[in-house]
Amino acid sequence: MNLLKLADKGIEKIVNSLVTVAMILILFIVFFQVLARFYHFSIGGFEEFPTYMMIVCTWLTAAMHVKRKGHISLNLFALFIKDLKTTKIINIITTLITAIAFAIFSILALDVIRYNLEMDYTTAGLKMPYWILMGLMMFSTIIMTIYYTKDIIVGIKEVIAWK
Amino acid sequence: NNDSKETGGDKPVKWIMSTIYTDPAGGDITYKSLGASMEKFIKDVNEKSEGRLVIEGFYGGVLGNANDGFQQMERGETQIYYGQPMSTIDKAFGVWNIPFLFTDYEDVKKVVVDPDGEFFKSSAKLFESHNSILLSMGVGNIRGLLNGKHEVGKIEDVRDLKIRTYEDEIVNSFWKGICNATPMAVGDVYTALQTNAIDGLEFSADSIVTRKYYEVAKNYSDINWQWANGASFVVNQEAYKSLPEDLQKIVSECAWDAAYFQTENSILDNNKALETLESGFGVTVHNLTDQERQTWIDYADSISNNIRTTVGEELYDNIKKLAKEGSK
Amino acid sequence: MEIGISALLILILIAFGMSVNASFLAGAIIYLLWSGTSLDSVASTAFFALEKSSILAIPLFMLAGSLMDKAGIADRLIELADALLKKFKGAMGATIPVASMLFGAVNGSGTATISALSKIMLVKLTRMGWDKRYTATMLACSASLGYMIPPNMNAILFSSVANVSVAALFMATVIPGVIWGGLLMIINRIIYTKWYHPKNAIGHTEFTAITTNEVLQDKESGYWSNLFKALLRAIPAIIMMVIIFAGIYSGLFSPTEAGAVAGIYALIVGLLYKTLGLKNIFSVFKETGQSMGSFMIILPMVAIFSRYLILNQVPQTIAGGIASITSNVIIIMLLIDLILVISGMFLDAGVLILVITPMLIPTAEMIGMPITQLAVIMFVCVGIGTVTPPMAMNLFIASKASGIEITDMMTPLKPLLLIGCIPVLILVTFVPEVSLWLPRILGFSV
Ligand code: NA
Ligand code: NA
Repeated sequence: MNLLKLADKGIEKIVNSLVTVAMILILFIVFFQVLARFYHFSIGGFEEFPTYMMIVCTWLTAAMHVKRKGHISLNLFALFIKDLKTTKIINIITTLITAIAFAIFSILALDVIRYNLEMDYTTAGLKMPYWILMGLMMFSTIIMTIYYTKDIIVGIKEVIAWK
Repeated sequence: NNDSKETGGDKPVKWIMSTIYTDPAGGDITYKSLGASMEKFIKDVNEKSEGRLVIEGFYGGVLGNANDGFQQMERGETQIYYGQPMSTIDKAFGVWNIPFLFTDYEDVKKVVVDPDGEFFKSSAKLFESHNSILLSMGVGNIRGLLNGKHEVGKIEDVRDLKIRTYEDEIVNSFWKGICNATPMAVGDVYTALQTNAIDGLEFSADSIVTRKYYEVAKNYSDINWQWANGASFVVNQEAYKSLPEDLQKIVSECAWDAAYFQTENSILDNNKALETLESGFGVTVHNLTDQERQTWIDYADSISNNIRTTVGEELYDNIKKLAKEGSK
Repeated sequence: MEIGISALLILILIAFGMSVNASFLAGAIIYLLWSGTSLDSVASTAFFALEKSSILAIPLFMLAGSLMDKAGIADRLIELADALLKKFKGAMGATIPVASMLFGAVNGSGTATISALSKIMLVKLTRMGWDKRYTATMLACSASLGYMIPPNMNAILFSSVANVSVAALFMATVIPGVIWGGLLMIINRIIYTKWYHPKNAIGHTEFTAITTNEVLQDKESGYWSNLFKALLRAIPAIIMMVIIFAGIYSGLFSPTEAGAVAGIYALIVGLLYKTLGLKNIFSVFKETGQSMGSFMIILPMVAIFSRYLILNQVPQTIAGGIASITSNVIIIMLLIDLILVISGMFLDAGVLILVITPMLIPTAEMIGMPITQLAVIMFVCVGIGTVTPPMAMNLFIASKASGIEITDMMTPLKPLLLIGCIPVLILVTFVPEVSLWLPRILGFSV
C-alpha cells in the first residue's frame, strides 16, 4: 500500500513538472513559428509539436483531476435530495459507471495502439509514433479507472460502516 | 466489421462511406464533380443491388479529414473512402504526386482512368498492405498557381513570392527551394491572401473559383506541377470480400462508372473555371510556354532523387515510366 | 431511437453529478452496445478530436490571460476604465463592462477575462461600498465581452467546424459587443443605487474614482488629467492591443498564434515592470497546464458521442424537424435562439459550439441566414449560457472569487440577463446588419 502511495505521489510530481515544461514549450514554439515566418527561417516540423503537447497534457492532467474531484460536473440532484445517505449511494453508482466507462475505453485504446504500432503510423511533421502518444492517453485512462475504483471502495466502506 | 459479416440472407448490408468533398445534395454539380461522383456511386449501388447493399454517404469531412477518413476505412469503422490516399498514410502513396508526372487532364484520362491499364494495376497493388482494395481512379485534378503579385511564367518568377504549402513532404520539398514557402491551413488562406500574409498558393482552377480566391489574387498560371490523385474509390478488404460475388461486381462497376463521370465533369469544370476566371473575374490566366514549363521540369528533375528515395525507387521508376509512355 | 435515449441518459447522468466528460463517454458506450454498433472507433475518435491546431487557442489564451493578470496589465486597464467613467453616476459599477471590453481587446476568452478582473475588482468595489452580490454578478455578465471584442477564441473554435473566415468573425461581434456593454452600463445606471452604499465604504482606496458623485462634478478639470495619467499607465496594454490587432489583420500571425504573441508580450512587460517574478511565471504555466485536463477532456468525449449523432443523421433530422414545424422564418429564428439558450443552460461554450453548430448550419442555410450571422448568434448564446444555471461557468468563477452563493446572485442577475443580454440576442437574430455591416465594409465576403 505504501508503495502504491509513493507511486501515486511520484506520478503526480512527474505530471506537474511535465505540464509546466509543456506549457512553456507550447507558448514559445508557437511564438517562434511567428518569428520563423517573419524572418524566413524554418523550425523544421516543430509546428505540430504544441498540438501534441496539448493532447498529452490534457489526458495526463485529466487523470490527476480525478483525485481532487476537479472534473466539471453539475450535480443538479443535490438541489432536491438533501439526505446524505441517498447522496452517497448515488455517488457510488455514478462513480461505478464512470470507472467501467474508462476501463472499457482503456481496452479499446489498446487496440488502436496496437494497430498504429503495426502500421508504423507517425505524425506528419516530426514523425512521432502515434502509438506512443496514444499510449499516454491509455495510461491516463487506466490511472483514472484506478482512482475511480478506489473512490468506489472508500464509498462502499463508508456505507457499510453506517450499519 | 460486424455490419457486413453478420448479414446474409435478406437483411441488407449497410456501408458507411466518407469523403472530405462537398455534398452536392442532388443540386447543380458545377465545380462539385467530386462530391457528385460519390453521390452517383451511392445512388447506382443502392439501385442496382435492389436495396441489398445500402451505402450511406458522409460528405464534407464530418467523419474526419482525409487522413482520418482513410484510416477509419482501413480499420473497418467505415467501409469506403473516396478521395486522395495521403502520403502521410503511406510514403508510397506519394508516387502519384511526383511533380510533373502529368500536366494535362487528357493524359491522366488516358493513362489512369482505365481499369485494364498498367497504371491502375500498379497503383492498386499499393493498397494490399492497407487492408483495402482500390476500386477505381478518376481524373482528380491538376494544380496550377494563383498569386496576387505578378504573372508567373518561368520558375524564377516565384522567387519573391510567399506561397502557401501544407504538411506534405513532396509539396514542402518542392516549394521551399524556389520561394518563401509558408505552411498554412486551407481555412486561413482567403484572409491570408487578402492581407498579403501569403502571395499565392498552388491549387486547382475550379477550387479557386469555388473558394472565391479570385477576389483577392488576380494571376493564375497553368504550371500544372502536380496531379492530385483525389478521386480514388477505396474499399475495406473484409467488407468487400464478405459480399456475394454479384454485389462485388456491382460495387466495382459502379465505382468505374463514377470515375468516368468524375473525369468528364472535372475536365469540363477545369475548362469552365479557366474561362470564368479570365472573363468573369478579371484574373489573368497565363498558359506556360514549353520553354517556361521546361524551367520547372528541370528543377523538379534536380530534386527528384529525394522523392525517389522517399516513395521507393522501383515504384517511382515504374510509375514514371507508365505515365510517360501513356502520355505520348 | 437508441441515440435519442442515450442523449437523454447523458443528461440524467450529468444531473446526478457524474462528471460531464464521463457522462458523454458512458452515453456513447451504452449507445454502441445497445445498438450493436462496433466500438472500434471510440479511442481513435477521442484521440484525434484534440489533434487540431485551432484548439491550441484555448491553452494559449488562458496562458496569456493569466500572464497579463500577473503582469499587472489587467490592473492598468481597470484604472483606465475607472478614469474614463469618473464623470458618470454609479460609474464604478459601469467600469466592469468597460474593463471587460478593454481586457477583451487583448485576450480571447471570457473565462480569462473574468478570472483576471474579478480578483482586483471585487476587492476594490467592495471597499468602496458596492454590494458583492451585484459586482460578482456584473462581472459574470460582462465576461463575455472578453471575446465579443476581438480576438475571440470562440470564433477560432467555430471556424474549425464551419468554413468561415476567422478575421470576418472577429469583426462581426464588435458592434453587438459594444451594444451589449452599453446595455449593461445603462442598467447599472438605473439600478446602482440599490447596490451601492457609500456609507459602507472601508477607508480609502488607491483608486481615484468617485466615492460620491458630488466630488466629481466639482473637479471637472481633474477628470482629464486623471484620464491622461491612466492612459499613460495603460500604454503597455494599449501597445498590446495595437500589436494583436495589427498582427492579425496584416497577416503577421494567425488568430491562434495571437495567443502566444500576447503571452510573450505580457511576459516581457511583467519582467520589465518587475511585476512578474520567476516564481509567479512558473506558477502561471503550472496552473494553466493543470487546469487543462478538467475541461479540455470534455472535447474528445463529446466527439465520440457526436460521431454517432452524425452517423444517425441527427443534425439533419433536427434541421428537418424545425422546418417541418413551420416555414415561418421568424419562428424558425426564434426556435434557433431557443435551442441555443436551452442548450447553453447545460453545455459549456466549447461543447455548444462544436456540437450544436453542425446541427444548425443546414437550418441556417435553408432560411438564407449567413453563417457569420449564425456564428454571432451562437457567441451571444454562449455568453448567455455562462450565466444561466445549472451549467454557468462565469457564475461559478464569480462565486468562487467572491464567496457569494449562486442563489444570492439571482436577484441582480434578473435585470442584467433579461434587459442586458437577451435583447442583444434578439437584435443579432433579427437584424443581420448589426453583425455583417462591419466585416462587409472591411471587405470580407460574409
Ligand atoms: Na477578446
Ligand atoms: Na448555462
